[in-house]
Amino acid sequence: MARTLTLPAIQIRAPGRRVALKNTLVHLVLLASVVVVLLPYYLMISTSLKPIQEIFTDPFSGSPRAWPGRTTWTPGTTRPSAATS
Amino acid sequence: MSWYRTAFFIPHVTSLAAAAMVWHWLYNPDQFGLLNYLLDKVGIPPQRWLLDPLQAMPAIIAVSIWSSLGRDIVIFLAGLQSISQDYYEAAQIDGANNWQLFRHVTWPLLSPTTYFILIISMIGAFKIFALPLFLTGGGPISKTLTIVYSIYQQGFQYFRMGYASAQAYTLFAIIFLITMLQRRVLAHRVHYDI
Repeated sequence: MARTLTLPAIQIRAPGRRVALKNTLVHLVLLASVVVVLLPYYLMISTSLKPIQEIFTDPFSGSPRAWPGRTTWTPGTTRPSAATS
Repeated sequence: MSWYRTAFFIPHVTSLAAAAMVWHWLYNPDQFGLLNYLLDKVGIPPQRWLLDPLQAMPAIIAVSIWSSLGRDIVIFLAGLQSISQDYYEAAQIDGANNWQLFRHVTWPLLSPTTYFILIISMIGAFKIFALPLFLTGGGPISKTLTIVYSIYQQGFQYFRMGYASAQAYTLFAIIFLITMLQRRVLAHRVHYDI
């Protein structure tokens, strides 16, 4: 529609480098917000996999040193403290 | 796009009780609290969060926003997608810049959505109960004693059922009046079409 008009004042901006930069910035902001929003879920899952000492010494670590040994999820483990063995 | 939508919506479908437990840990006032752990990494002294009369309510507000953000995003997204592209094209042909496009096309055509979100968020804010219950128990010097938590406290902890019942009816009246006021003030600013 706009293309058929020949008014000189109209500029249809081509998706150039500026648009790409803007999109990158938007995605960076969104990704940062997603990290903040999903942080509690990350903590829930990573904490459930860790022995109790590690929960307090290094709460944000994602690679529990006990993994893949006995965790809270191991069958037969009834109490979180049992995973510390 | 849909990944972001999913990520932001997850807190809204999480049980608030379960989420509050995690946030309780994040807000732990000693050095084991995860937020204090992060603050310690950048050299800020530990905060008392839920035990501080000045910080308790903002902390609860943050969790409340966290849990309802996804719902608002999804509703706003639906509102934005329902605006016809024709309006933008017409305005662009008339030489509107980005701000004018937002101010004179997006904002007025989004006003029914904004109005809806404003009303349900306001009512939702009056009904906040689970977060004070799980996080603060009414909070330091009653700073987070919300209306519904007060009803619960009077009725089921102090067993003053009559008082609690009166509070509940008062809450109904307050919500009713404020919603009517919003309707009176805002309804004529809501545009369903240009």
